[in-house]
Amino acid sequence: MPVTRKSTRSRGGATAAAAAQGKQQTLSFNHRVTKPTVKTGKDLLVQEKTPETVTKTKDVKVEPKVEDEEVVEVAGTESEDEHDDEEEAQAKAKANVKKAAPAKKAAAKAKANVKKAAPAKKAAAKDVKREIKEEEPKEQVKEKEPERTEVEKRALKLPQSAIDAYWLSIDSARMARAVHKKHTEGLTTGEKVLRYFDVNSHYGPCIGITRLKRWQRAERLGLNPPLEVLAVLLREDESGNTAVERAHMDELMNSVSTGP
Amino acid sequence: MVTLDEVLGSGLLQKPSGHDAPEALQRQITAYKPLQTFKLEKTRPYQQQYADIYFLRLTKIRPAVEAAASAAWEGTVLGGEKVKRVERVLDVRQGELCWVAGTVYMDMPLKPSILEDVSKDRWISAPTSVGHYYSGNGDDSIMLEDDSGRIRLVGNAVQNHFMVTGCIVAVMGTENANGEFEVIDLLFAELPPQPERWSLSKGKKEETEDIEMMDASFSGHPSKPPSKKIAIVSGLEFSNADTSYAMELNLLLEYLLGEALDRSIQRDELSHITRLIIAGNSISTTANETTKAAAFDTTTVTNKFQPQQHKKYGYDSSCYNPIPSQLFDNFLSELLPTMPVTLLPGALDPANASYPQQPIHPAMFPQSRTYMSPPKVGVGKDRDVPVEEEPGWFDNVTNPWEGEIDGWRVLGTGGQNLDDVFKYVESEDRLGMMEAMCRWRCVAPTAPDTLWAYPFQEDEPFVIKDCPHLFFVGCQSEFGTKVIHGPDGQTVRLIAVPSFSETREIVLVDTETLDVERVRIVAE
Repeated sequence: MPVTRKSTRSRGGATAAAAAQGKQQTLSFNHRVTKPTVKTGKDLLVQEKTPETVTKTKDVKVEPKVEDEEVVEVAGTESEDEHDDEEEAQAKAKANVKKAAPAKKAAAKAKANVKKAAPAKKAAAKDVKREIKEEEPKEQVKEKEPERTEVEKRALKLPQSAIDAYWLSIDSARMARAVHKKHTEGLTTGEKVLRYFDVNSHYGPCIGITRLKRWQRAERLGLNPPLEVLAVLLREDESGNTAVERAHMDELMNSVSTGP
Repeated sequence: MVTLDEVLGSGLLQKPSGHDAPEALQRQITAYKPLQTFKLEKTRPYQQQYADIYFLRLTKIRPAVEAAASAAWEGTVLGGEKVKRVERVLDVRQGELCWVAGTVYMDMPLKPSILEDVSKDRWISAPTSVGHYYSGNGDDSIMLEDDSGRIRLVGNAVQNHFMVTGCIVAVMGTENANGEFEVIDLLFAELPPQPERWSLSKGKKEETEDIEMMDASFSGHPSKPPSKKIAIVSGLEFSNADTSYAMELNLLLEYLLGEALDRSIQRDELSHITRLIIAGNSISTTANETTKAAAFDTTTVTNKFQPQQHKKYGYDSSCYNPIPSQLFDNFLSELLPTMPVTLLPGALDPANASYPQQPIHPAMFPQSRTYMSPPKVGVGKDRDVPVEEEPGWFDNVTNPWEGEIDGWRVLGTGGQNLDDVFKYVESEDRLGMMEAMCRWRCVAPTAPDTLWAYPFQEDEPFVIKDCPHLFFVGCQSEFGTKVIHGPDGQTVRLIAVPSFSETREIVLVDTETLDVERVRIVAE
């Protein structure tokens, strides 16, 4: 790797900051590329997916960096040299990120905007079609979608008691005694509701599709799936539980056995 | 000094006789609006199961079938017993008269089955014949299936109708002692509701009326508005190996350009051809019959005929033949300046092998590319051209394809769906099968059973939602046309477009009356 002035500086700054935090240094090659590269379609694809809304922690704000001039403008508040600013920001980003899951790409750089009033809000505007000089991180922090559909809003309003009552009505409608109760002991009511939804062939096969998509497809086809299921799914979604995304049967069927 | 006038008078220099120059004929235009019904995303996933397709199809068509069935059978009393509706296929009880709706599944031993192939390890055997799956000796059984289970259907009533895997049907009858369902009566969903003419482009109607009036005055015709025609051709099969029809292809080009025949016919007929639709099989890269047959082979992946391939793995570029696509490109680039063209891919064309075939990539047509609409970069993650965009003069579209031409809703395919349905039934009545497809409301019912298809999960586009006014299927062995009627007054003109390489015929459709003409090109 050719040793440039920028690289030594970044290495010094980043390593020091990282070492201070006791975290691993993430390699960033962005500033080492000295010629402007045209972003290919694949990268444009990536840029588009970046979240544009404020995250829950409000500590890390992700924005597309459009032009160098704008970056300077943004960094104007910090009144530093552009490159230094990046390093500082990088260090701050590492310090501030609490919940950020590791980004998929090796080079992750978050420009932390600690100030709530984001001067770069216009940079964060959805101008993803212009050439972007620096890569963006893919934030894995769960962000709330600003627009919930009507149905989802109603589902979110459902209290836990409604879900329990729904499950009770299903359970009491069963005529046979529950013989294998020990298998369902560890399951929450929500999980029981979800499994009942999975098994219901009226809404199609449950394998190869996430539960939420299956519910939405059933809704779209006019099959009137129960709102309680959506409520459970959204609740689990919000609390970051990804285990309930797919049907349990789906996981069993697709599981790979590793043997001797 | 001699002046021109003197010379002119003496008869030496003559002005050209007749008119100064023959006036160039204007070709008329028709309103054209393609739909993106069968367009797939470029980044589509393949992790889904195919069972979703059947679920979607059943859910979308079942309400219509049940409505038709209850209208027909409600209150019927047979042998003192009243007909009851049964919720699921497995709920039928022995001796009980009932009706139920579900999907048909044909269990045929001659049908290619991936499980059989895997179990018997047929990876290296020769390709099986691509003839019928129908055995006719009683081995085939028709089953009715839904999410609960399957029952076998027996009885004379099922023999009177075309049945293929994937069509949604309602049957009335009772279960007999063998556990089979004896069918007394059978019903399909029938034709879907048909939109009016010009339903997709309401605002344009006034425009085209004006243009029609103008054209009438220009061409000097007194009263009758000129009838516009759409030309449909399929199976052009440009190849460098088979030149038996190359002369006819040349003549076809002249015919479409309006350069053939004499002036009066050109003015009256040829200039009225407003659009050409090429319905598949434009390029034939295989020379001999056996490879052609193998191309239609829909058996397992590895059963494809391997023509003289030197490399077993990877791509052997020495067997690539660029001549056919170049010939086709030349043909199109000469035709395109005067006539808009819609191109559907077919079984032999360089498009993807599974249904719905996506449009042929513009890279195949270096000269004709300029007539296509420019690709949009960075518009959404699919880079689809949105529906509101103007279609290009040269429109490469999907197979099957749905669109609106001159107000009429048109549905067309390249022939694979009909050829596959043909293998399931005993008859040769292609038009009857096309009619059956309309009445089943499914343009490719055998997908994904024997016709390779994309595993749709969200929505299945093969279900016909709006009844077309014109339904054409390309690459057929002979020409055929028929008009069918639906229970709500729908009318559909069915056209089986013959393959040009075999019959040298093209089809002209009148855009006002939807009458069909057949034009045969003969080179003496």
